[in-house]
Amino acid sequence: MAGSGAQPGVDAQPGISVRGVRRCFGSVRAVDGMTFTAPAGAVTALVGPNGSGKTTLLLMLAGLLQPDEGEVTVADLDVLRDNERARTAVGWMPDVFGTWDSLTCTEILTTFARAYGMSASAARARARDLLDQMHLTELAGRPARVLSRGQRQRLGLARALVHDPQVLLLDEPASGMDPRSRIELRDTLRSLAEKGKTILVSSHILSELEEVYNHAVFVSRGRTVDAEIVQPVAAERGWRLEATDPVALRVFLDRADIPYTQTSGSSEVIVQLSGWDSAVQLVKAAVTADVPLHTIAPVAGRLEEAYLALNEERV
Amino acid sequence: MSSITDTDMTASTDTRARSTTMNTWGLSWRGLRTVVDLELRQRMRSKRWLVALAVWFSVIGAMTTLVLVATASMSRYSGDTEATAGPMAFGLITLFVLGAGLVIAPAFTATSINGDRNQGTLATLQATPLSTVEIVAGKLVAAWAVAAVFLVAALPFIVWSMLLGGISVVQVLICFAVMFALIAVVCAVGLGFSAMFDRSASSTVMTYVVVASLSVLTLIVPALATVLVTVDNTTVRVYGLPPEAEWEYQQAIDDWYMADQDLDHSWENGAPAGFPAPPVQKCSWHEVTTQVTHTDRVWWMVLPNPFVVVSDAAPLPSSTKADPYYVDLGHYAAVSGDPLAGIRATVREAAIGPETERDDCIWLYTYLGYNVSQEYSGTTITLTAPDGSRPDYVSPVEPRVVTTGTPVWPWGLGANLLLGAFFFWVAVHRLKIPYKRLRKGTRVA
Ligand SMILES: Nc1ncnc2c1ncn2[C@@H]1O[C@H](COP(=O)(O)OP(=O)(O)OP(=O)(O)O)[C@@H](O)[C@H]1O
Ligand SMILES: [Mg+2]
Repeated sequence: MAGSGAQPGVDAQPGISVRGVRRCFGSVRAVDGMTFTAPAGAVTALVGPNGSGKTTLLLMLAGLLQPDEGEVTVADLDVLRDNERARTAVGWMPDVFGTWDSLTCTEILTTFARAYGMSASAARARARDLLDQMHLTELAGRPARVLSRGQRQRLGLARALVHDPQVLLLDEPASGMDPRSRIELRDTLRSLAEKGKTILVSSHILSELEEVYNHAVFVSRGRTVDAEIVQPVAAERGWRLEATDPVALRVFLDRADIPYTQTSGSSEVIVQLSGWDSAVQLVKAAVTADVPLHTIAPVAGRLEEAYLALNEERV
Repeated sequence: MSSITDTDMTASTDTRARSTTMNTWGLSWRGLRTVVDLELRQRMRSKRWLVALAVWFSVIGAMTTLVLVATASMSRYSGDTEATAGPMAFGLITLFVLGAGLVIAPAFTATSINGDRNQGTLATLQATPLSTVEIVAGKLVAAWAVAAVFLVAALPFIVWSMLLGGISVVQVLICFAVMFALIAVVCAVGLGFSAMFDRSASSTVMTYVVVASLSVLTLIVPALATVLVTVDNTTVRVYGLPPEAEWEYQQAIDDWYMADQDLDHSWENGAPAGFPAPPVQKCSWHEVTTQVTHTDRVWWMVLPNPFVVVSDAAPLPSSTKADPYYVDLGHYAAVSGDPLAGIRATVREAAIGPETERDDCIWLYTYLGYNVSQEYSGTTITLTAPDGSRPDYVSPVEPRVVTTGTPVWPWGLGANLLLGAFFFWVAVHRLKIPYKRLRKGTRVA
């Protein structure tokens, strides 16, 4: 799936490679055969319903959980055979980020910087930089316990970035963040990708990923689902139309015999079109008919479309 | 937002990248320090621990005051010199501090790992290049350091008891060193259980069960086991009057009583007139069967007891070295009232086991006006002639003297350290990543 974000730096950089990975917890098959690669210098979205095994997969990539079967490499390091170096190469942000009762934000970051082998002064400098980037400077001296959900999430991201990892694994990073933080998160991810880092983001907030991802990996019931079958080129989907003269638009649609629904209290209308070709035809016809059409856009994002098209049940 | 500097980082990260693949057992100074720092910061900053320290200080203080008042009045009562109050007070305070230390030590580690796991802070730490050993050892060292602060807080009171005399600095140092080691063992046990159980209630209870077993069960079990090692028909060699001579002598005494009922039979001034002299020249070896308790078969069960370990390791006051009389540990323990020496003498006596030879003859000398005294430990019998001299009677039975030689505490401490090492290993084993199997209901993060 081609991305709408920055072009991936498609050099032979190793990113993440997952081949035939399985992992059970007792009788629960949390990950049941996942295969994909996430190239370096790109943001890869990991999308799937609740319980589809995303968190479990990230745990295996972070070197914390051993796959029952299959091979996992990050930055060209086998996570099993080269566990420590793989761990050093990876920055992992778990979906829930616990905090130490009485440590301040700065102390948390310096502790982790030290754990990654930085000197005390380098650790302090790094912590200051990251707090600044995450707009947490004001909270630097406060115990992390008192942070709000979104602030904590930002601190969690800073923590994952503390050693400037080659591979970044983010498990629902945007949850709880305000719109401004989300936009900044997007910018951060984009700039990291430009630097050649490999980024794998799992999120349920698909509009979030929409603008930043280069690739998407769909998982369902512990399996990666082939992305080709969800190509939305020919899929029936809703499109949002808007014109400076709404009446003209509605008259045009009536005449063309295209069914539409009107959204409450606005000049928008929504039409069902089968694929991109229909959309192109509609635009041509509207222009010919002199309708002052200024907006035509899919109602849902491509990821969301694809996701819904998966048509798999939630676990 | 986009300036993510990576200037001096790559260099320093490289120094850490070791060639080892699975670094579960790797241990570096820097890694250890990182974890110790983290743990100490976390513990020390809460007000709770200061409150606990204050409570601890006042409890030990109150206890010390009580002990000192009690020992002072006791030694005045018995007419002993003040010097004996020192060892007694020191011993009591040391045992109390050890007991209190054993009670609080589990609190420092018993919820350390499962608590972190429940808080969601463990996995992020494990995901760093820190090795499992660095994490576990860091937690142990930090908890141990905090526990050590508590022990050290009791030092002023120990010094106070030293003022009573008879206590040397070496004694204090050795007692504290052994106590530090024992507390470290309890910390390790707590750590092991906190890695084994997910619920902090379970791990805390289990740690206290182990502490209670070590300090109480190790006494109860051998005490009950003495029933099993009590043997009815055991042959003991006795040096004394042979049965027929014994019988004859009893006859003679009976006859003497019967001869004149009105005679003065009082023993106040030695043997009354006409009392038949015991035929001590007829003393010889013969065998009798009797019931004996083989304490030497069960005594070792008390070895892991922390109180026994500390008592046995505590050196005797230097004053005892000068006095040959004090070579008998039991004697010293009884005279000084030093509880450490008392425990030590009891354990070592049990280790010697039942006597296989006995001197009954020596008691006959009382009828000759000699003074026969059994020493406090019950193992040495001394004979004093009426004129105060030591007679030339040499008992053919070796005196059983409990001495300070052949210490037993290294075994006890060794057993404890093995236990601690085992639980440390359990904790490391449980936290080894990547996890192969997870306990039911545990999530990594
Ligand atoms: N430690 C565990 N023990 C037992 N079952 C587990 C464990 N961890 C995960 N599972 C199960 O494995 C499946 C996958 O869980 P996982 O957390 O990977 O899902 P997810 O894709 O991250 O879901 P979500 O989108 O809700 O975060 C779920 O059915 C979950 O119940
Ligand atoms: Mg998840």
